[in-house]
Amino acid sequence: MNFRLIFFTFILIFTACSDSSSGNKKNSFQNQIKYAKTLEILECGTAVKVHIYHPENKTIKRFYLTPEKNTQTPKNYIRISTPVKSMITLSGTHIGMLSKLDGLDVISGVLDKKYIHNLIVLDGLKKKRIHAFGNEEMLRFEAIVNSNAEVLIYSGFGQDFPHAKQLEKGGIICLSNYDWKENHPLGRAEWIKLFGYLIGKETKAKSYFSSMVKEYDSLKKEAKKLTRKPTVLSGNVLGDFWYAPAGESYFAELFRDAQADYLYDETKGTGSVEMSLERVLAENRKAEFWLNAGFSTLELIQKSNKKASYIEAFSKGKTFCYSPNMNLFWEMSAIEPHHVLSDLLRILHPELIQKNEMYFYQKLN
Amino acid sequence: MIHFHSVEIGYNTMLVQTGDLALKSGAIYSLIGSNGSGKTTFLHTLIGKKTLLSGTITLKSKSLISYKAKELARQIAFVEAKFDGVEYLTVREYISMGRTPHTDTFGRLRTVDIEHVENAIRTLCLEEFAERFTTELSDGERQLIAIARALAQDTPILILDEPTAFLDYGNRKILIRTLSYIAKNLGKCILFSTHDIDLCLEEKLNLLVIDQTTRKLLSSVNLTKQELLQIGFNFSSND
Amino acid sequence: MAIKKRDLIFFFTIFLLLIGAMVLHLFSGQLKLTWNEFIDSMFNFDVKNTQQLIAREFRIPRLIIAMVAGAGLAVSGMLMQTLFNNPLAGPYVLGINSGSSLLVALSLLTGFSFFQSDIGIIASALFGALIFGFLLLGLSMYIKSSISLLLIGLMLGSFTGAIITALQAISSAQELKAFTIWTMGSLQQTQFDQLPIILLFFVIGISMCFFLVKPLDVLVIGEKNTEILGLNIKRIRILSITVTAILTGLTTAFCGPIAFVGMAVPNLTRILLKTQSHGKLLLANLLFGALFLVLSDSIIQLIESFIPLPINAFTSLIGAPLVILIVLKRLK
Repeated sequence: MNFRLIFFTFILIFTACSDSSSGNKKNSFQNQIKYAKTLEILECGTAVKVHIYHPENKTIKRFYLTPEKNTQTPKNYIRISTPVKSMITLSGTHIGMLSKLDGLDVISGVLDKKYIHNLIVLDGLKKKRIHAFGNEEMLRFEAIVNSNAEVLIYSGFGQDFPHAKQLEKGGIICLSNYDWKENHPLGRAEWIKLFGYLIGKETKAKSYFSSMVKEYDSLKKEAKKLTRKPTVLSGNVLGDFWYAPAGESYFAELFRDAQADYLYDETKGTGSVEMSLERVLAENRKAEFWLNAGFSTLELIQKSNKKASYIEAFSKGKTFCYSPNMNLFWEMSAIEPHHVLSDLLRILHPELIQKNEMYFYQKLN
Repeated sequence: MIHFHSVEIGYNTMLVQTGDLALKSGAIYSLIGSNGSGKTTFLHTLIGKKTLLSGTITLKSKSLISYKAKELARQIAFVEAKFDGVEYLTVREYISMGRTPHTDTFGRLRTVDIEHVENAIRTLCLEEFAERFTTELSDGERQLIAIARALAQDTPILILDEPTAFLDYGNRKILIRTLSYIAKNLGKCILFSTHDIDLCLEEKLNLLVIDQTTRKLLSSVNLTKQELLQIGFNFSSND
Repeated sequence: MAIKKRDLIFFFTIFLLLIGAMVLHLFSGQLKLTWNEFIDSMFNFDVKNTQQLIAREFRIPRLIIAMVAGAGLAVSGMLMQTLFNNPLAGPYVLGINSGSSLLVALSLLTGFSFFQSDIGIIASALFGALIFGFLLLGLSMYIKSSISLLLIGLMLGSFTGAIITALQAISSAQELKAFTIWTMGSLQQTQFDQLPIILLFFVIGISMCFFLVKPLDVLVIGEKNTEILGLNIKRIRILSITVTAILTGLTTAFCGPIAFVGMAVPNLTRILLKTQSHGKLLLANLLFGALFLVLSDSIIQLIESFIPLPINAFTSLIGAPLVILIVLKRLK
């Protein structure tokens, strides 16, 4: 008995994966992530290490994914047995990523149905196969504990998930998903790999991702050839300030790739720049396009921002937004940045994209 | 001035009962009775704050209840037991408030109003206080400016609710003498409630006593202190 | 109401400061404008000229609404403080503007086009302020402690917040988002065309105050004395609450809740003027309230590129410590 254990450990030590620095390629952990900044996935055989970096305080959450029953969990790692069969997803982007992997059947719980676009998930909710738990600030925890899910994925808007410890005692492992904090559109999409590894469809995830990157890059390359850069205004007023995407943000990156002339392209920060309405109007009155005004009709824009009509793009009907398809945008834009880019190119450079339909965006009326 | 015709006063139960009683101008009446005997209720009835249980009160031969608030305020001035003063309110401003029933909607003071205010200040020798804040005065001084406010109101009748309650002996005496002076020299009818039996007897004021047992209001000037205590407070000092 | 030399100097100084602050306010935005552009924007408006557009649709309405809101809230605060005999009273602290917010939210959500119009919004804001004003008045009959009244004001605010949250849950997200933007408080949403109706309601509200000067002067010595002096206390209460509702409702309708101005300014004027004469206080609050908000908003514009600060954050920054000071000094 004792001998067997010692022998087994011996074998383990010698065959165990080591970190990639130690030379031997076959038995070392290889990083699978290229664009995402808050996610690291290290793979070695069937063992996978997932490191999730908190975007603000840079603390790391470590997870050890493995289908094996007998291997040891490395120190400081939380073990997740793959493939995960039952998962609670608290953000639309998670649903979008799972849908790309044909993995929606693992979803056992979501937030409220009013935030959901996916028909399969809506149907699951209707047939009580999937449970609705409210919204992220006011979750029904007891229902979650009762749900017997293995993993819960949350967006963690700047903070740790409350009650994560209690849920983990109840056997539910909580993972944060900071895809929304990724400033590069492809980095945001790359989080699909995490879902791939979780549900045992990593190959599918990687192949989808690389083909999507190819498409994104070819669109970007086509756009690069354009000489004309139309001027673009983005964001809207909220209380005393206009919030426009800052130069290092997700949308600023997309605007650059779409060959837009965006006035606040050079500003610092990954969030938004705050400005008075007066300044925005003075600087952007003649901007050709107004994007992402945050509402689905011109009337609603006018209601929230009485002076919107002085922006020429507004009065000339060149205001575009994804708001009419809000839930679709939440679910799919993260995983389909090439479609977002193609929409933007279709709006800004109709000569480049021949087709009429757009994926997310609509011209507002 | 004021006539009581078999009046019964109280909230739900009768507290004070008057026979036929007349209060005259140029006279000062002190209302005496034990705590809770209905002194304040009695006074409040006169300023229209309480309703009568039965009987009628006439003021200048007109029924008291037929007076509107503003008209009544031109006939009767009322001084509360205590005025605490108000931050940043000057004595002159406070005394000017007595003119409220006489001024227009916007409260502008005409020459005649200012004269009344200055007269009141002079009568009570308050010249040196006039520009002070009401919060900076002593209790006795505040009682005097309250009376000055009532004088400025220029009413034939002056009613005071226990004006001596918060004063020391010296100030009480000054106050009662001042009131007597005002009644005699300005021809006003003054009615005030008090517990200062000794002072009232000393100053030979008209006494109105609420009989503790019968609830009747007795009017007399010739009672001895012992009789007073017996009637008003059921207190017999046989020793 | 004798006007002393000292008071004259005070009013004159405040008046000059106000003129100065108005000029500063007009020119403290980031885009450089000239006098001519302001004058042209009013009498010779060319919508294609961005400078003129900024002058007409941004600077002028922003200045006017800052003055109207500052003066209106300060006067409302003065009325409330005398009516409730409480130095801490004010339309924001007592939650009267919560009533406006609530009613406007409810009326907007009904979808009737009347409630989307300027008059409709003013009407619901005014009505909401009236309801909450009389509710407070009713409660104040039973509650004598000044702190309790403020707690009730706070509760009204939280209660309203809760109802609006509940409305968010049942209504379409976009409609409500358009509304919540309005409730955050801003001086920048007023349009040039709205100025006549704003000024009309403001003048109505302030004119009614002249009928309150005499009663309020007397009210400082207590409600009982006021009645004995022949004034109708019910009429005073109804008129005061109505004026407060008009002035608070007006500002809430056009710039949302503006914190603490209505409480801070009347206290400052009483302390500076050292008087209880409401004629003087009315004038002082009109001038000082306008000055306070115009100056605050100028500072906001000047520091905007370094620290973007919403108007409510700024007024709270000054107002909240003042509440503490007043509690320490006057309530003990």
